[in-house]
Amino acid sequence: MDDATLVQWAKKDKTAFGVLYERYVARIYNYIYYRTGNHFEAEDLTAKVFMRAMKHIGSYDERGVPFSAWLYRIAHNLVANWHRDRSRHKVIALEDYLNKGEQPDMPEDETERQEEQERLIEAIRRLPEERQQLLILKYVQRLSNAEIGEIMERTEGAIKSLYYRTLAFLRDDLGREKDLPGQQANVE
Amino acid sequence: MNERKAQEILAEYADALTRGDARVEDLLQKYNIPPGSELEALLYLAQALEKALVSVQPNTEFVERLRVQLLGQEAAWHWLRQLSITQVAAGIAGIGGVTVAAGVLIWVGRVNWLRRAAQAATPIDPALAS
Repeated sequence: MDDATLVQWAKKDKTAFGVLYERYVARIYNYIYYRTGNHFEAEDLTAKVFMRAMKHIGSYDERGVPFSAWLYRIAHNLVANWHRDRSRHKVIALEDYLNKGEQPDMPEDETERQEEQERLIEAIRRLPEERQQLLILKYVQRLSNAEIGEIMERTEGAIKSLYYRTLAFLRDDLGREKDLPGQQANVE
Repeated sequence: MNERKAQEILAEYADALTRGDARVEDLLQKYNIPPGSELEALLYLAQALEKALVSVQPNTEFVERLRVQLLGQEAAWHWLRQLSITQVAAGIAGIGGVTVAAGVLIWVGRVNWLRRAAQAATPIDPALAS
């Protein structure tokens, strides 16, 4: 059953909302996890996204904005609020994602690979908000440029251009990091 | 190569990543991209991003707890009713197996503890006991 039909049904019956929840909970969680960098916040904000979606589903009107894009926009707004408020939060780095320190006998090349990935993730988190969003939607959520465009309210061409500029910016940032004494930012 | 063409090639590579059949080398060859060029660096960066940004799974306990919170206990039971008899039987068998295994471990631990306690109570020199 497609999202639009389920949404109409969910306006009258909670069970249908349950199906939508099942379909999107992992994707929304992933999105928030990469935007915040820790599982605790990801769980908390994911819960808020679905609470808000359930509360407002009665007034949701598709009109060119698919349900998935609507959910991502709710998530995006909540994450933006969280970032504005984060001085009051203790932000934990992506150590749990990278399992840092859990494998003391890891081979050297594996350690190096993890360090490179960690540097890359840190560089992504230094990007402006919309560029982070783009990379997460593209690489973690595996969405097409057209789908990303619907979520970010931009044309497909604009997303393509933003993607190019984001990669160029990221490469320059990693290059600058590499130039710092005692640092190496070797990406591939 | 102009920026627009570079954007197209990067988009093509991203689509290939989504399909799971992306190879930077194929694109370098197809478009005759010179080694050391900016586009080559961006393609390899895209490849590194694909490896770094992996999907993570939310904790199943959290997903279930939130479902109950959103839909109430009734919906959780509805979900349970959707499981096949085999899935329910497998779940019950799993819980039973874990319970039995835990019981055996506790029993073995208790026997070992009693044995050690008995040994500790026995004098080292049997002559001293008489």
